[in-house]
Amino acid sequence: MLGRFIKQSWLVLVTALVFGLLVAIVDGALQETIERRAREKVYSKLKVLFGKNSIPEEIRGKETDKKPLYYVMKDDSQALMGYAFEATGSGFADKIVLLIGVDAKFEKVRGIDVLKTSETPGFGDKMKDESFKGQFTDSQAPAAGNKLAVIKAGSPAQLQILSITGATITSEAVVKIVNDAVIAMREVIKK
Amino acid sequence: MASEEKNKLNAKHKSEAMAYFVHGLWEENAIFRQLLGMCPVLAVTTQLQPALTMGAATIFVLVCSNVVVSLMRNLLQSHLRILMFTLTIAAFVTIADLLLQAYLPAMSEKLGPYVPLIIVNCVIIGRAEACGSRKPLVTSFFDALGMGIGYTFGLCVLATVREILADGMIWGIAVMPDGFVNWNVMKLPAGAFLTLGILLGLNNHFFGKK
Repeated sequence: MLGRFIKQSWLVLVTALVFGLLVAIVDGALQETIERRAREKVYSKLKVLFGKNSIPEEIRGKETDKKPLYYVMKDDSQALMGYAFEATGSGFADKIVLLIGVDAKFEKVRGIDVLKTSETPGFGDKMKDESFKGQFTDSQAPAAGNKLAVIKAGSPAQLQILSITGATITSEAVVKIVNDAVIAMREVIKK
Repeated sequence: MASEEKNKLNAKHKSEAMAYFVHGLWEENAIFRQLLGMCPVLAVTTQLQPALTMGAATIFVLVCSNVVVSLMRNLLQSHLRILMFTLTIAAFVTIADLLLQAYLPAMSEKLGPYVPLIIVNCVIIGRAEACGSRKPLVTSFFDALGMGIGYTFGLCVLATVREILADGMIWGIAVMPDGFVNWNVMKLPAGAFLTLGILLGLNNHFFGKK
C-alpha cells in the first residue's frame, strides 16, 4: 500500500518540497526590500496628509514590533501637528488598509489615504478617488457616541459621509475602519 | 555513425525549436490566433506600462515552467500531470510576484490581483501540456519564449490603442493634440472588448487562412 502510494506521488512530494524551499529563499531574500518599499510608501503618504515639512516619529507598542503603532507628526519647528496610524478592516472583496491622520487634539481628521485595497474597479475602488477620500479631510473626528455615518444620497452634514454609488459595502467598511481606529487610538495615545 | 546521427538529431531539434519559436510569435499567436489568456488582456491593457510589465512577468513564468516541465517530462504520471503543471506554475508566479513587489512596487500595485492570476493563464498551462511535457528542453524553451513574446506583443498593441484613446498618452507621455477629448469608454471593459474585437477582425481579414 505504502509502496504504491510512494510510487505514484514521490514526484509531487519532491517538487512540492523543492518549490517550497525555492519560494522561501526568494521570499527571505526580498522581504527586506519589500518592507522598505512599504515604509517609503507610508512616508510619502504622510507627507501628503501633513505637508512636505512634516516630520514623522515612529512610536512602537513594543521595541520588537515590526511596524510602528502610530506616528507623531511634528513640523519643522518641533510643534505637534497631530498623529497618524494605519488601520485595517474587511472590505467587500478583501482587507482594506488605510492611513489615517488626525490633529493634535483628536478633534479633527486631517485626512485618510489608502495603503491597500482590492475592491471592485469602477465601484469600491473609487474609494481611492478624491471625491470619496476627500470627504474625510478636515472632518470632525468620531468619538464613542458620535460616529461617522454613511448616507446614500443628499448633501452630507458633519459626521456624514456620502457613499460611493453602487459601492455601499465598501463605503461602510471604510467608515467603520475610520470610526474604530480613531476611537481606539484616541485612548491609546491620550494616556 | 553515432556522432553523425547525433548531429542530425541536434539539427532536427534546433530547427524544431526555431519553428516553435517563430510560430509562437505570430502564426499561433496566443491572443490573436488561439484566443488564450484573455483575462489579463482585457484587464491590464488600459495603459502600456502595466501591459508590458504583465507581459514580462508572463514570459518569465512561461519560460521557467516550460523548462522545468520539460526536465520532468519523462517522470510525469499522466493522471497527475495537470497537478504538476499547476504546482510548477504557481511556484514561479509566486516568485515573480515577490520580485515585482520588491523592484517594481508601483506596477505591482497597479496590476494588483492579476499577478497571482497568471497562475490560471491558459497560455502557460496550454504550452506545458502541448509542448513542455512532450518536447526536449531547447524546443520547450524557445516555444515558451516565442509564445511569451507573441503574447506580450498582443498585450502592447491593445494597450497602446487603449491608452492613446483613453488618456491621449503613450507610456504617460502626451501624444494627442490638445483639443483631443478622451474616449472614456476605452478605460472600461467595454472598450477592451471593442478594441480586441476590431483587432481580431482586422487580423482575420488581412492574415486569415484563405
